[in-house]
Amino acid sequence: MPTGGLTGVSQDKAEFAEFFAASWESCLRAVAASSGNMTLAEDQTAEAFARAWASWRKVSRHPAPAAWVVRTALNAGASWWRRRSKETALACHDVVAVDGQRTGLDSAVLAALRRLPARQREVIVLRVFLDLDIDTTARQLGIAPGTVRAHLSRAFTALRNELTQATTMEAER
Amino acid sequence: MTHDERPNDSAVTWELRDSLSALTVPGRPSLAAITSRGRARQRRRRAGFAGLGVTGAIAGTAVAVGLTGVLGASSLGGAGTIRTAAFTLTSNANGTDTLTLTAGQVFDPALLQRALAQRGIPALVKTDAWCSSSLAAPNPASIGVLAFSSPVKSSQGGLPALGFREQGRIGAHIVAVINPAKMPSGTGLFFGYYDRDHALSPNLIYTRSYTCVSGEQPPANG
Repeated sequence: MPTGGLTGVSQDKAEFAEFFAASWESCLRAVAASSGNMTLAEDQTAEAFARAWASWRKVSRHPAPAAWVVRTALNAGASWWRRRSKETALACHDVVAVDGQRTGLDSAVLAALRRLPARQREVIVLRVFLDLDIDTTARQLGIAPGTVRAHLSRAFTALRNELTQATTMEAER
Repeated sequence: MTHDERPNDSAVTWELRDSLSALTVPGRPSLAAITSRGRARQRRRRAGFAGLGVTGAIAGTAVAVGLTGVLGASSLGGAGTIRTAAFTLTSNANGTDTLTLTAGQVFDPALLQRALAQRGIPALVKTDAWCSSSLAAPNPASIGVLAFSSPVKSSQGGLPALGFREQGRIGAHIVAVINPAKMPSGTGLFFGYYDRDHALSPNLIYTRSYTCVSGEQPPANG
């Protein structure tokens, strides 16, 4: 292999290692909060990072590689559930039951987040959890910035209503 | 808060971010585990996923095949355990997979092939046939693709150097650890199952060009 190639590969490896170290935890948190299952989220996030590594030349040029990882992980999760629903006798992956109290995934706001329509949830994950601006969120999702704002507004309204409801119920106890 | 949010939205934003920070998350896996998984994925992509449509073309004669794609793998490399009566395939955190064979159970080669594909390991499993490449692939045990936890007798040389068959029959808790990251580019694992002996022999083959001989068993010296 040419020396120049080796240098490029080493640089890629170093860049990926840096990205992985810096982004793993925030990506895992975002995926877990959205999916509600820490065990599954851990596997999906690892799979998404593995895919990022396999396509690092492309992913490294992405405007928001962490967003790429989170969306890939969430898409992998959707495929996993679709696949699981069609499983035959062969596949018997065991999903560890969610221990929400232990992981913190049972908080009222995260539970409410998971009840949002998928697109609103994606917008929250990218905009609030990954702190992307409106334009980058829009590019990432392939929709117009105005549509992002609309989804964001509906999502906030729904979350606020759910939280108000939860607070009222708590106060009435 | 940003200009896109209304005053009440910032409270929701903070609540979301607080809940996110309060999550208890497991530690980061090793970089090696991730890159190993990524390499397995690259191999799968290169090999193509033309499915596992192995037909009965090998009956009675040696057939040389350009079989890129037969040694397919599924695109889902998720963690977990695949359990059948005859074998268990468990994915390990370091990117390897542990195959445990159980004695006295009816072994279905197609099931093992599907299970390996599901774990992202390009593999071909056939009954009463032996597949090898004209250009000899490395011994899977000597390059770390396969490691046996159970004591398995080594042969004098050639292929296969290690095999369940050499142990006699499939015994209880014969365990092989498969490390797909160590598989050279363009290769796949072959497992020959021999019904008469209830034995399984592994080999490494080049997926682009290999030959399967029906009714043939692994080289006696190998």
